[in-house]
Amino acid sequence: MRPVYTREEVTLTNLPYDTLVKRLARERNARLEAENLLEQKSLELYEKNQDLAASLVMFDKERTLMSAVFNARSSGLVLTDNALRIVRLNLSASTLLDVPQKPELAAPLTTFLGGSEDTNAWISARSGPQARFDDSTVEGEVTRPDGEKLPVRISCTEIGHDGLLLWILVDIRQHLLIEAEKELLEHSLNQAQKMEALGTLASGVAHEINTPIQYVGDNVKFFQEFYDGVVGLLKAYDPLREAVIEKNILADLTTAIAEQYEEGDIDFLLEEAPVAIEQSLHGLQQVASIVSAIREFSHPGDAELQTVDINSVIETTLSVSRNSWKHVAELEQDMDEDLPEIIGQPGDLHQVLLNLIGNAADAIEESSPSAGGQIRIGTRKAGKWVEVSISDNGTGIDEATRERIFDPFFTTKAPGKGTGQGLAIVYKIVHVKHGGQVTVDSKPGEGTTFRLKFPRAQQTNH
Amino acid sequence: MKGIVFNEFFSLVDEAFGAEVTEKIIVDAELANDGAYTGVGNYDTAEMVRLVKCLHAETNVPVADLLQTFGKHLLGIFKAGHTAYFESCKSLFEFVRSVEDQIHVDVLKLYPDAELPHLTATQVSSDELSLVYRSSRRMADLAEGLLWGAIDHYGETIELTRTELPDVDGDQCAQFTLVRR
Ligand code: HEM
Ligand SMILES: Nc1ncnc2c1ncn2[C@@H]1O[C@H](COP(=O)(O)OP(=O)(O)OP(=O)(O)O)[C@@H](O)[C@H]1O
Ligand SMILES: [Mg+2]
Repeated sequence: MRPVYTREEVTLTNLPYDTLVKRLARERNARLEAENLLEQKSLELYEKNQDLAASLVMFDKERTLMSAVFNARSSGLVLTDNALRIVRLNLSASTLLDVPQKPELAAPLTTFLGGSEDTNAWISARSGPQARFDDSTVEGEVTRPDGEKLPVRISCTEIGHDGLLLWILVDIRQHLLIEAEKELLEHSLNQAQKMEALGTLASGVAHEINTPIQYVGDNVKFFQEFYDGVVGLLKAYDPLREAVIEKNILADLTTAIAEQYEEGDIDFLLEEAPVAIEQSLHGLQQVASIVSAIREFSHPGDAELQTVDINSVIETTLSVSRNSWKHVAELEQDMDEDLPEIIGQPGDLHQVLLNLIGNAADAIEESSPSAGGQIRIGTRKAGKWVEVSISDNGTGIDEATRERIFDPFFTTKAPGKGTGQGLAIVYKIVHVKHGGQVTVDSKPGEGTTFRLKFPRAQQTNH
Repeated sequence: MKGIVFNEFFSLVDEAFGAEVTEKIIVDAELANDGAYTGVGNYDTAEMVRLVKCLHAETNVPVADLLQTFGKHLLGIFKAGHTAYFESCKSLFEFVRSVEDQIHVDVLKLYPDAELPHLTATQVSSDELSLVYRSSRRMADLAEGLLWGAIDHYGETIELTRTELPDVDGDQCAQFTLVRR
């Protein structure tokens, strides 16, 4: 289309002069206007061009952005046509399916994606001319070229042109793991609740025992004094008896006394009774200390920080846990007798020590060293720190395992035996609650040492 | 309205009534630019209406006749400049049908500000075509002239009848029925 003009102009020479002048003036004005118009149009064209160039730049940026977003998605994104032939893959999808990110791949998605009968039906319902779409997702699996299968969650939406479909594949390995972990956690929570109930029961029992133990102890001490008194008295009678025998008087009385001695085996009793009393007192002392350990241990709830003597916490833990290690290991203690106190929470610290001792016993039981199991517990000052070390001559920990031992739920133990929480709890209590540090030294086949460092309590100047 | 329409109008008036008449109506119509139109420019349609009225006053020829003659003349001009449209259409009906969907569409590509009518062509039977004109510029007479010009070009024997239709939103509406004999 272009403008048209009259071919046959009126023959100008036929026109009168003034008409000619008028027409000339009009022609000139029309020309000027045409020039203006041309300039205006040129400017418009230039601006349109600028706009277009800007749009192109924007479009290009948008495209770069889209493809960056497409590739940055952690889910596998697969574009297919409506016959499910792959058109494009993002990076995650290419990694997930283990196929190159080439658009010319054109392989059907179903060579990589499938699952149960339901899953396959779900997928094929989204192909072909009768395809239908909704927000649903389905679980299926990706089969990689090497045959490896990975669980995925699948969803699919229409792009809206050219029959393109966007498939979103989410790798749910992690998710399944977390589910399993959650189950474990629930299990161990149950366990913890049971332990707590047991603790409450134990502390009740300990409390009940405490009172009789107290007065039995008092009474035994009373008998000890009584014995000492009676023995003193008897001893005071001895010279009298000997003098009477020497003078040979009151023979019937001395004979009766001698008979009484014989009959009651009094010499033996006198000799053994102090030992028996001593032993009873010792036994009672032990019972009392176990009872107090149980009571202290089953009240970890008082979260308030206090100054703690680590040595005494260790003693308590050892007496409570003795049963769990005494059949696998000898215990060696190397305690710094004037260890500074630390600020802490005795209940938590018991827990830490129990876990470490339990692990040591487990490691020893597993390796059963020929020289016999050895658990060594030591404490010492180390500058501003108080250090506790727990060593064993058990299996040791290899490099790869060492990196993960503090992970919650990491365990190398048989299901039902370890929940893998022990060291996670240790870590949390030492680092988070006490501002301390846990380190581990280990040689596979030789043994392991866990070192705990706690900041020592601020020294108060008297 | 495009300047070209004005300029063609002037050349038709020159031809039909003489240059003095042209100069007279340009003065009488009191045009904004004293009658200097550039073909690609866009101007108020009211100026064309005033020019036609002044021409009527000057010549006593009815406005309808003037517009129809102008239409016929205009078609000749279009034909000279755009033979391709006419060559690509084998018959009058085909040409008339193509105006709305093809020719006027191309006009708009070149002149986005062009003011064009709505033309609705309906093939009633193989020998009958109906064309409904609708425009706020109220130039059904011009359309009729253009149609006559086209009929002349194709040289077919056509009976053209025109029926005035009621206005729609202030737009003039008319139906042209073309029957091939
Ligand atoms: C029988 C065929 C045609 C009919 C009935 C027709 C009808 C019309 C009418 C009635 C107008 C005036 C505006 C209005 O009333 O709103 C118009 C304007 C116009 N037509 Fe057509 N036309 C036809 C063919 C053509 C052809 C073949 C061309 C060019 C190749 C053309 C180009 C134009 C142009 C440039 C305008 C002026 C637009 C303006 O002033 O802004 N027409 N047409
Ligand atoms: N003293 C040790 N010697 C050898 N391996 C150890 C020792 N302590 C911990 N480990 C390793 O670290 C893993 C994690 O220990 P952690 O105490 O966190 O869990 P667990 O003992 O397996 O289970 P839980 O303590 O919950 O019953 C153990 O499974 C074991 O492989
Ligand atoms: Mg453990």
